[in-house]
Parts: sequence; structure tokens; C-alpha cells
Amino acid sequence: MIKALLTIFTFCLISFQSNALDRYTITNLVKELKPAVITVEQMGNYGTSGVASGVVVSSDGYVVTNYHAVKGARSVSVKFSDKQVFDATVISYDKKTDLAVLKIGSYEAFPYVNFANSDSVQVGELVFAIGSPYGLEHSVSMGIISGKNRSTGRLGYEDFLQTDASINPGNSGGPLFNLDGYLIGINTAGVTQTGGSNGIGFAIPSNLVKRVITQLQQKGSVKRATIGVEVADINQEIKQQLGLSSYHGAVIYKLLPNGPAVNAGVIPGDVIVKFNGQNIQSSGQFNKQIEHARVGSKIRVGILRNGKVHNIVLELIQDL
Amino acid sequence: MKKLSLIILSLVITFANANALDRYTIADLVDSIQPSVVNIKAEESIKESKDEYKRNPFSKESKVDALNGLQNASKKIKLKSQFNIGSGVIISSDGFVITNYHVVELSDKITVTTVDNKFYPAKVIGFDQKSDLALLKIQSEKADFPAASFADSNIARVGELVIAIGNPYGLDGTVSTGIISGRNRNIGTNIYDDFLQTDASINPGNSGGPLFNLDGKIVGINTAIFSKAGGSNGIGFAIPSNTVELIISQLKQFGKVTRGWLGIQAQIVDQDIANALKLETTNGVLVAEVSTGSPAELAKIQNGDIILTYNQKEIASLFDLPKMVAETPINSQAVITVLREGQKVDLTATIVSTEDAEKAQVEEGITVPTNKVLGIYVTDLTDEVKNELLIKENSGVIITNVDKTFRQFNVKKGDLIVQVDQRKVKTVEELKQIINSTSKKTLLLFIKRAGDSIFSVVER
Repeated sequence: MIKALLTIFTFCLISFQSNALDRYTITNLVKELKPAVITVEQMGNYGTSGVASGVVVSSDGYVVTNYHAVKGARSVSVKFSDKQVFDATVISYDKKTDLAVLKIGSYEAFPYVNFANSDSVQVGELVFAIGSPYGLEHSVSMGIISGKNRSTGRLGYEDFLQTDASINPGNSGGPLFNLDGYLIGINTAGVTQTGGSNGIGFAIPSNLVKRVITQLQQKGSVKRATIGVEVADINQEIKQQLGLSSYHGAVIYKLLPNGPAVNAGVIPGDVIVKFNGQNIQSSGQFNKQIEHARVGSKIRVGILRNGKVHNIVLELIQDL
Repeated sequence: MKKLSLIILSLVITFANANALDRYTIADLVDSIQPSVVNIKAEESIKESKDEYKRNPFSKESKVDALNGLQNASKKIKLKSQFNIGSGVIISSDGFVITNYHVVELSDKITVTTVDNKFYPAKVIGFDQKSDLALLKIQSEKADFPAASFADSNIARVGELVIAIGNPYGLDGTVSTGIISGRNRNIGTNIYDDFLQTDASINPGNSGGPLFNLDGKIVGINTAIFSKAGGSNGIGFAIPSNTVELIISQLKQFGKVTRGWLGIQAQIVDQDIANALKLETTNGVLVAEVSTGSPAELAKIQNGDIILTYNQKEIASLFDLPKMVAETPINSQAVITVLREGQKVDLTATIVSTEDAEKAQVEEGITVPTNKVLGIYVTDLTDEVKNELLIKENSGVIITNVDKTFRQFNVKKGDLIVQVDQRKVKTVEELKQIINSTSKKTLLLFIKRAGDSIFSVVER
């Protein structure tokens, strides 16, 4: 009898608690994760001091943060929640995704975070951010995932998770966690009219972070493929100017001289509507496709010009 | 046996979920706590601030950093041109209400509106500028007002869910939720800052209103925000309930708050100072100045002493000491252990009240200069400072401290400001004049720092 009761008891505890949110859920997670979150302080050429956040991703002291947080820095120092400060060198960075990898100059073993699979993150899911907005070290803010696959047009490649957790200047480069305490994104501040959080924050999804930093650590840079175009979303003005019938597609506004697109006769104003069998409805979608493409592969591209879709095959080359 | 196991099962389920949140947890809580939250409308009829301390960042006269404090922002929302709006919370059934001092500062006609849309006049029983708290009494025969009670703010944890209720932009009874983002925050108001930080939306009009925990008890009084444009950016600050309780009980009993005074100016022992003084650790605070005739002087505390403990309690951070001294009963003794020339020395000081402090501008605990402009503390370049910092220039304005809101800019303690927007600056007065003469958001400072010349842009 007692055995049965104990089984039921355990079952209840487990099933009711697994996705439960209670008063101290976040408190307990923060306690565990705080040691792996750092404040990045940048000493620039004239003693510039910028404050941003970052997160330790391996026990030997590799740190991920935003590229813009360490841009132009001669040296960087990272500060832990126990007030310990270490020097860190910028190992490499990827401007396109605004990510940078640092290495802490120490032989100590550091607490680090685990990566979640950002593809399985759901809109509406609860998340929390830890960072140092305005230098308020290790501030915690909570919210949900407000949207996925967002782009704001600021960076070369964007595929943001959108959140309403407060992300302010100083939060940049810091982690966004799910309720398992796994990293689902790296927060990137500053897409608001005033510069402060308006409940619309963006985080680079963990899968992209993982891909980029693996390349940065192994090869020192991210090798990308390109067809030699720069694209933008179709807004009202462009739609009118080009006489387009819908907003779907990625309009080409710049071409790489002697690149695959130019050589195939593509001109500015052409709209990419299909890429590798995928319908392209926005520049974000195109950028995502390109991000996964390989140098040397031949891709079928659907180009819309003057109301007609022309299918061409382009070979991807190395993006320098 | 079956009955028993069913009972045990249901008990297990209940207790396993004691702190659980479901769809209506907050809604149910709000039903019970909202009646204790009130709107406050303060008609401004007093022209001069009651405040003699020009340095009080919350007073209308001083130049308040627009990033810091709801005081100026809430003054922009006026229902009619002469009203100031805010929030408050009823703490006793006979109608005592807590709010922020800056909400009622310049008013002698205050109206409190309760959740059932009834309004009552209220009187200020007492206020404390330093903590920005005021105690009001609703003028009415009614003795059954719904009252809220206090939580122990020491057990409020970072990450814990909280609920703010108030009157942002005049939208009464607005509920917002978030978590506790940080504790013990000092935002440069004064040395007694010890705020709880929250990401619950706090906007102009929320001032003076309560921050509740999930037990429905007051864990803080919402008082300030860091904001780029005046509205919530998810960085709000609430005075912790334990401090509120101490202040309110003094206001109720005496109509004012009396704080203990020791009479020193102290600074952080950072690594540089520790090295210079050959200290083993960076614990404690360094005594930079002892005021003449003060309890510290009488206790024989000296310049250069490192204060390690106060009444057996360790001084962990710079702001621990002012709080401990402030809370010491007047005329009682405090045992202070200092490190002097490598030896620990125990000294006893008889703490007096800050009102007895001779110089109005001497503040307990920290080297606080007499002028704050935007996010920096400044002072004129005197010969003494010139020699100490080995500055070649003959005039300019020295930055003695930079508060958290200006940390993001390239300005540092020890910098000498010689120009603002390419106009020469020789004194703090000139600096203030130039800053006030323009409404530009960004200012270009030309700074001399350790032999370097630097242009630095700051934003207000």
C-alpha cells in the first residue's frame, strides 16, 4: 500500500512540477546560472568604458558576446557575479551576425551554460534575461517569446527571437534563457526609437550562435556563400516604384561586380521570389537560405521582373 | 484505506503547488489587494520648495537627471496645469496612506481617490526627503479602509514575481507584473539608496504606489525609473518595505525622521588603494575625512583608518555603513573596529542625530561633493585639488564622481571639464549655465584626463 502511495506521490510531484511556474522558479534558475553570466567592460583607445554582457560557454573560459560590445577594444575585462575580474582577449568576431568570441586569460575552470535548440522555442514561451543594463550588474528581466525569425535590417544577417523581457543598453551580448535554464539566445539591444526597452527586444537564436562561434573558434571567421546580391524588404515605396503586385519577395538593390548574379544578367530592382525551391517572402527569409547554402553548389533562383518570373541557376561563391 | 489514500493524494497535490502560478493567480491576488491602492492628486499651490538642501535630487529646484526619478516626468502629466498625480497605498484601516514625497512636495491640497471612486482630502502627517517618502492621513470619519500589510523585504529574492499597482498617466488601478531584477541598488540619489529593482512597468504616475509579492504583501514602494524618454524601459526602483516601515513609524510618531550621524567621509577600498596602503584585502571603507566635533572625532577615528566592522557587523559595501549609522538610536554607542597601521583597533562612538551635524552639506559615509549636474558630481578646481591631481590647467570643473546613469559615457572621476559644446567652462556655475542654456539632448564635453585631451559626448 505504502509503495503505491509513494509511487503516486512521486508521479504527482514530477508531472505537476515539470513545466510549472511558481513563485521561485526563476529565482532558483538565476541562482544556478548567474555564475556563468559576465559583465564585459571595454577599455578603448581613450579610456572608453563601455558596459555590456556576455556568457561563458565552455569551462576553459570561452565567452560569447556581441561584436559591437567589443568593437575597437584594446583589451576587455570580464567581471563575474562574485566580483572577480579577468582579462579577456577578443579571439574573433562575425560582424554580419554581431557576435564575438572572447577567451578569458586564466587556467581556472569556469561555470558555463548549455545551449537549447532554438528551433523548438515557441512563441508565448516564458523566458528571462540576465545582463547589466546601465551597469546594473546581473539584472534579471522576464518575459515571453513574442515572435521568431525577426529581422530589423540593422545587421547583415538577422533571424532574431523577439521578446518582451526588458532588454536595455548594457544587456547586449548577454543571455536569454528558457525555463530549463538553457541558453536560447544572445540579447542584442537597441532597436527602439529612444534606445531604451519598449518591450520589443531581440536575441540571436542559440542555434545560429552555436554555428557562428564554432566557426569562429575553429577557423577564426565565418565562411559564407553568396550569389553576389544585397537584398531588402519590399516596402510601399518600392512596391509603387517597381510596379509590383505584392510585398512578397526580396528586392535586389546592390550587386557584387562580376558576381554570379550580375553575370547571369540580374539587375537592381529584380525581386527574388524563389530560392532553392523555397518561396522567398522577405529579405529575412532569403538571408536565412543563404546562411545555410554552401560554396560551389548550384541553386535554382526565381527572379521576378516586369511581372514575369524567370528561373536561373547560380553557382554560389565564397563571400569575402 | 481508499479514503485515506485519496486524502493524502489531494494533500500532496495541494502542497506540491503551494507557490504555483496559474492563469488566474495574479487576477485573484489583484482582487484582494487592489482596494488598498489609491490615486493621489496633489494640487500645487506652494511656490517654494520646503527643501533647504539644494542637493536633494528629488527637489524641484535641483537639476534632476532626466534619466533618474519619476519626479520631473510625473510633473509633465498634469490633468489640469497645477496638479501632480501619483499613487499611494493605505496601510491602516483608519486611513494612513504611504506615497512618495515628490508626489506631494509642493502641495497643500491633496485628494486621495479609492478604488470605489470615492475621493477624500488628505493631510501630510510627515515626510522624509532623503528616502522620498511621505505619510498622509485621509481626513474622514471612515474607519474601515482596506489596508495592505508589509512583507519582509529581506527575503524578497531576485527572480521572484512581483505586482505593481498604481496610476500611470492617470490610468487608475493599473496592474503590471514583472520580477525582482536586482537588490540593494544605489542609483545616485543619496547615500541611503538601497532600492529593489524591478522590470514590472513603472511609469510616471506610479510614484508612491506599492509593489506587492505573491503573498499580496507590500515588498516595496515604487519611486524611480531609469528611462530614455520618460516612460518605462523595464528598469524600475522601489524602496524596500523594511526601510519604508522604519521611516513610516518615525513619521507617525515624530512627524519626521531622525538619522544617526557619525561624522566621516569614506570611500571604497579598491585594488589601487589597497596596494597603495599595503592592505591585504579590499574589505572595509577608508576614512577620508573626520568632521570637527563629530562623534567620529570624539571616538578618535582618524583619517586613513579602514573601518572594518560597525557594531560587529562587517562593512561589505560602501553603502552599508551610512545605513547602519542612520539606523543607530540617537545617543547610543556604536563599537567601530578600524584597521590602523596594520593593527585592529576598537573604538566607541556616541552617535548623534544628523540634525546636530554642523555643516548642512556634510553627508554620512561618502565623499559627496556639493554639486551634481546631470549624472556627474562636480566641484571647482581649487589649488588643493590642482596639486593633488597634478593638473596643469588653472581652471575648469573637476568630476569627483560619476553616477550609474552616466557610466556608459566616457567620463571619469578625476576628469577636468574645460569646455562644454566648445564653450570654455571655468566654474561649476558656468557649467550649469551652459547646460541650462540649451535643450539639446547631447552635450560635447572637452576633458583633460591624466595628460590626455578627450572629447566626450554625454546624453541627458
